[in-house]
Amino acid sequence: MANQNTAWNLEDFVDSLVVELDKTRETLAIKAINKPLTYTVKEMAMDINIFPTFDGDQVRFVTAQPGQTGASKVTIQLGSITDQQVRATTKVPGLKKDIRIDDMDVDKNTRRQLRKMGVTSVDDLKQVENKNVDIQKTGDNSIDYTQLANQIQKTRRNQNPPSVRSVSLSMNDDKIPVLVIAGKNLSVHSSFTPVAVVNRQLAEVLTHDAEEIRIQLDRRHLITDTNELVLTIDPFAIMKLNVKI
Amino acid sequence: MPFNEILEKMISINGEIYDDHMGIHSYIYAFDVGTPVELEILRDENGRLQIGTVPPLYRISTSFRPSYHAITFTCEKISENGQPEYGMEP
Repeated sequence: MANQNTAWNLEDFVDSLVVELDKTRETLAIKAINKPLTYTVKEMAMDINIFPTFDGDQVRFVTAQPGQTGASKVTIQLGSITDQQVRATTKVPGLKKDIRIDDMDVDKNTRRQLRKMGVTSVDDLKQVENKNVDIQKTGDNSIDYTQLANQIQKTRRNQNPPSVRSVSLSMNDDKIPVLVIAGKNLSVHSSFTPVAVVNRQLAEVLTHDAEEIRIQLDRRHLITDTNELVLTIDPFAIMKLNVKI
Repeated sequence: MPFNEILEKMISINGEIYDDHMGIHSYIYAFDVGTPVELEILRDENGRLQIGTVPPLYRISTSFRPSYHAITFTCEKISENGQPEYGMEP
């Protein structure tokens, strides 16, 4: 059941208006196939009488109904623009690796503040940084940028989670046992050395990269048939494995 | 009534003008429409905003006043490639 005469914001309204216009144009384009003298809408303006409200965060409008007086007027004009103009004024939507701020686990205030600055994705943030703008100074200091940076890394990590293909035990040149973990997206942050705990004892990580992690074992690790390996690959990827030998 | 339907009905005109006696055949290639409308803005079950309209009202004062929303639009003949025939050049 649709809600009657609800409050709306301008963005939603313009989106709906464009959808309605597109439907009209599509219908008329089909009609024009059999009826050559058909017209289509080129430009449109709309005067709407509204009652604006501001809740401290957003301006919303309620459309005036018959019999209601004292409304304000908003005029919306939709003109024709060329493909070239669209390309010049619109950013490429949904780049493959881009992350929308709305999809991240950030608090409402941060999301609102970033949106005010026109930042809706991680790629937008990067563009601002590339222009040497310190976004922290331009905002009202209500955003915790350290937490935001962590959230971005966490979201990126979630998009590329680590996966283990195999775990094997081998000997290195000095005849010391080494646990070899092979897989995908393992140690993707070169600045962070993974931390390995084998049978509740810290173990030394010899080498690490995205496809392989080598862990040195010694007598302290009490290797048996079934062993527990807890591997902190980076702050956003921790895995626990039961290794049977 | 959905907004696109009323828009489509308003611009579906017969734009050909014949005068057999004078031997004239003309057609309308563009026209403007300005009209008051009643609007009802709804949210559907999925939370999407829907623009509802009722057919145009007259601009006259009555004891129960209309809300006097208005739309103005320019229409052009669709050419063979599906685009407005007299649109702006890129």
